[in-house]
Amino acid sequence: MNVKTRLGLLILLLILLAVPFLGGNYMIYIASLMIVVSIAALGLDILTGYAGQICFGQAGFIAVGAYCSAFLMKAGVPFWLSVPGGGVAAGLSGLIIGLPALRIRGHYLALATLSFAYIIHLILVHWESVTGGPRGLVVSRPTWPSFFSQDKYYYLVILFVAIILFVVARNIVRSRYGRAFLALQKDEIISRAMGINLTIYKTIAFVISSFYAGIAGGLYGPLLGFLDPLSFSIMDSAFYIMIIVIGGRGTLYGSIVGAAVYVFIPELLRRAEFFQELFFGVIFLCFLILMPDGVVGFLRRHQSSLFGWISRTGLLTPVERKGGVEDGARFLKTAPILTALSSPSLARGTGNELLQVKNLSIRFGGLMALSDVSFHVDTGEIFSLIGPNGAGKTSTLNAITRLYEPSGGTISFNGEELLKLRADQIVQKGIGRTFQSVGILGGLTALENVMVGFHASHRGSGFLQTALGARSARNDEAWRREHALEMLKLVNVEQHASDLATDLPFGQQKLVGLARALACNPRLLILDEPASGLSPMEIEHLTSLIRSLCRQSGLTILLVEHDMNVVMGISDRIAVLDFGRRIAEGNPDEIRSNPLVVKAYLGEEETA
Amino acid sequence: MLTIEDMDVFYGKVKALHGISFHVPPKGITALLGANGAGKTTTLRTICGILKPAGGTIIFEDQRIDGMGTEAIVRRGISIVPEGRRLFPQMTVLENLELGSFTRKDKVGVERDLKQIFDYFPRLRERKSQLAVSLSGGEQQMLAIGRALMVRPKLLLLDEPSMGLAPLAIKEIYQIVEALNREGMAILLVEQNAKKALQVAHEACVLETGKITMKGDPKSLLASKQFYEAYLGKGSNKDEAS
Amino acid sequence: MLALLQLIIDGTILGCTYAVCAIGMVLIFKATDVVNIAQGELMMMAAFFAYTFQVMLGWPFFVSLVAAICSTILLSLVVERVVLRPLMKAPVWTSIMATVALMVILQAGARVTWGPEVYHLPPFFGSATIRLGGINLTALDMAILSISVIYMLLLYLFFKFTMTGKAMRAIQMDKEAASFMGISVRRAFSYVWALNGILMGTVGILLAPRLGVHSTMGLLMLKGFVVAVIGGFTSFAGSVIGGILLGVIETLAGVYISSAMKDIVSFVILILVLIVRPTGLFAESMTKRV
Repeated sequence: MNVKTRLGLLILLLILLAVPFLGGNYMIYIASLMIVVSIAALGLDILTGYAGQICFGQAGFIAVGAYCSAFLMKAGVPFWLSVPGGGVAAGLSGLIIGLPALRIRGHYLALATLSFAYIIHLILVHWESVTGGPRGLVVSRPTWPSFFSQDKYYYLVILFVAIILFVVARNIVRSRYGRAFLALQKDEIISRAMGINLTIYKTIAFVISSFYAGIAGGLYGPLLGFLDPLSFSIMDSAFYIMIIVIGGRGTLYGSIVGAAVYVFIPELLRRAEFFQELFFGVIFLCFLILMPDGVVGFLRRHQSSLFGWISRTGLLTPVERKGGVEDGARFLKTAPILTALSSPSLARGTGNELLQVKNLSIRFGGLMALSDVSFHVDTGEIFSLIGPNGAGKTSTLNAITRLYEPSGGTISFNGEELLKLRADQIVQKGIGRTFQSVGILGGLTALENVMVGFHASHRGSGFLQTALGARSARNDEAWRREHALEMLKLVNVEQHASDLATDLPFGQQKLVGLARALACNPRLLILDEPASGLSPMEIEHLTSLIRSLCRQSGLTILLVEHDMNVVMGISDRIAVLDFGRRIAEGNPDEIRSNPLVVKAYLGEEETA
Repeated sequence: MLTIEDMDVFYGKVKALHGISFHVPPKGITALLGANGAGKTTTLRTICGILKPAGGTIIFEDQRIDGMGTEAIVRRGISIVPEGRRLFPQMTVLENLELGSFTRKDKVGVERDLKQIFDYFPRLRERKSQLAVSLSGGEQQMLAIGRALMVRPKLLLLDEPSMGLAPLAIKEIYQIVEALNREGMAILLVEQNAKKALQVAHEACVLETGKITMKGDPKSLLASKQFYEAYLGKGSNKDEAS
Repeated sequence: MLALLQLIIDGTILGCTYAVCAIGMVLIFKATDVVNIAQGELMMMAAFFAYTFQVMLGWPFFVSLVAAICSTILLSLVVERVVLRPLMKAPVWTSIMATVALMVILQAGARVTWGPEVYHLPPFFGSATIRLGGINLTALDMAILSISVIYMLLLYLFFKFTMTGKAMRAIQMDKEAASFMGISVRRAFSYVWALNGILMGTVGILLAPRLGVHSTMGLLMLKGFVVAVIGGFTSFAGSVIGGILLGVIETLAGVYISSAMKDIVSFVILILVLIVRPTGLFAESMTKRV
């Protein structure tokens, strides 16, 4: 974390610590509420802001945590255990509600989570014998040590918990988990190609978010002294979404800002409660239309022009100073990076058939995109797949990387049948891929994009160690940063390591995509139209790069490309597809002079 | 009739067209050729307003249409038969054709044109009440052309009409194209099947990676080596040091 | 047995209102890809409009009815123009959020303008009841049933036979191809919201006397979502069948289990459908590409 962020947080902390000693009881109450709200908002930000899963049920999870914690305390469990207990209960409900999320997205997910919130609300209202219904449930403050029941000290308890949870959230978000969440939000296909198991990560995000909500609920009950179903309505769930949007989705700090806005609006508008809601709703709408990135997002984007001294609140920027980059370089190994990364157990023979596609057929509805296509790629060669538009080239690549389900045929790689694997398991077998549409992940820097490539090839520490900020986790991140920089150097884009990938010119974005595919440590690199959209100079650079990757590192390359000069210039062998069938195979000269190929590309004249 | 001057078009961040210029005369068939990814479809989509040029002008009948919305451009008299046909799948042949006449107010003219299209494409008349999705590839292409004609355009844009069609169907389609042109319609034809297009076109332009590299009449293009290289690349120089 | 039949009839009538709400949502979704979370709030506003004109201003019944529906249409058009049009280029997520904002604004706005209580609109049809072979049907029930049926019929005819209706179907099938026909997609958006205003306006005015006019009455229309999901969000027929199904199940659950459970049952059904068959019970299965 850089100096400016550290300073900002320190100031915030001092202000927060000063509250109980300088402010009156009401101030303490407001501040306590704000912190509790921000804990729940923090969790929701991880789920909706980072992982992109729209959840309209946060109030429901808070309710689960609040009531379960209250029940536990009534049963004699001390506060210090019942609050985490509430968190666990909420986490479990998050696990259950997360199940629909695995299959649905967007508005369907919004509806499912909204329904969950509504069901919880109805249960709270109607199950009077247990929840006290609309009359409410009385909740007491912690009794040991007894002074914690005072407003002042309870506030400090809440603050303490919030700080811990914030640090944990930050650790999670700044790790491969956070990157995985962002990746799955921006592009599920790319995520699977990078080996991210969508099911597992979506579930983790749901559990984290609901756990945080549960803790917030557990703290909320004693703060107010009682629980009332009215505080956990659908509107409240909607308010949480509004909080993170206003503060800034996917920024963590935004949840604090949003919570502050939400809690302080009633203060500014001491008139009827309804005006406050209306005002909040209108503010939210304005933010949606005018400032969709939220307060923190806006500040981040315009930091250089606004205030020189509020720098990026540096959530996911591992490389902040030039110095950091050079430090990383000191750990460079002298051996070429790819052989340093390669696993010795994978045999690298020459002349073996690495990839075998046999009788592959793909059908879309009534259309045969591929019919009975067979070819093989030898270890260490550059093999190109070409053909006119609609010939089936991309379908073939998608079948190999398991994004499409073929209707017939087999694909074997290194002796193993690929068709029994899922898309997110392919990369672990040693197949890396670039995408025609680049597939750059927005919101991440070029370096971070490449680091996503290490998700599967360098797993590192587990979740708990990451969340708690263990040394091993930090070392893993440092490793990934250094080696991602190496990848960027390979493709000559290292000067843009700290820039947002989407700000880069198109040609360089494609190179970042290539670096990311290399980070997957592939044996077979699949390049999907790498030259499209590049300038002639960039194409030249690309071709020499591909050649050297192949010759020097022994990488096998499967290339799909329209630019014939590129194809003819670097391929060892070429297969030509037309109308879903293979019509020719051979070396470049053979292909160029093959009359079937000429006909496929240039068409044919009608003979009367 | 249609003049494009110095047009730049971006597709997202990529510059897809670099300062292209060409002209479609009022009574001819002009072919726009080039390898895949060269920018042919991008050009057509810019002409009909789906994409907006970043620079340059498009002038249709002495009026600038670059930057106008698609609906407005269509109402000015440009109609497109899109790549992949883009029929309304759950609507009948007749309904698809009727939608083509959406902008028209002259009921009599519409009736007359409908009859004429069925004369051009008797198979469509047979299948009047069938859903568009149940037609064969060739019939779908005919329907797509018929629908575009119902707009009563002054300029017809054809985007890869032969794609995915059997040779016999391609032959029929091109006969119609020639017949339409004989009746006075200006046509801008984008094709992958270069040789077929050159058989009917009066003028052709070749696009290579977003630039127009060749212009001329079909005969001279077919005879030039550069034309082949545009599609199949230059000779291999694999053994050059990298 | 007769009691069961009465319940089923009651449930069907309730289901008709759900179906109309769902149809409105499906209409908007198919044309604009946006799920209108504020659907119930439009109904609520219509009820408040009716209350204002008929009770507060004392206008005659029919005049205030027309005025209320016109006001709802106007409100819908304003919403489309001011809130959703600027977001046409933004990701769909933002538009959905905007309808959430709308929900909050309309609810809070109603509380600010009229107040948080439940207000009463006198029933238009009195308490006339018909007995058909042992089944009781109030005049309101008949009104709901007949108006729902009329609307569905009109909509069906509109979309099947009028040029504008066909143009809107075309937009749903292929927005770009529709614009190639010279069809203005923007105008279609306005039409669809206006249509929805008519639908929800009617439902609001019809149900207001029975439910009481209050700012949270829109929550009932969450069931409209459930129905739309069951119907697959694509077909009107699905909304109708799903609506009636849900109305009947809910009514039966209310009597045979408990009245508290009937709402819960609807949402549990929603979650189950979303888990098991997210495309709905009636949508055609689509060949999945990636």
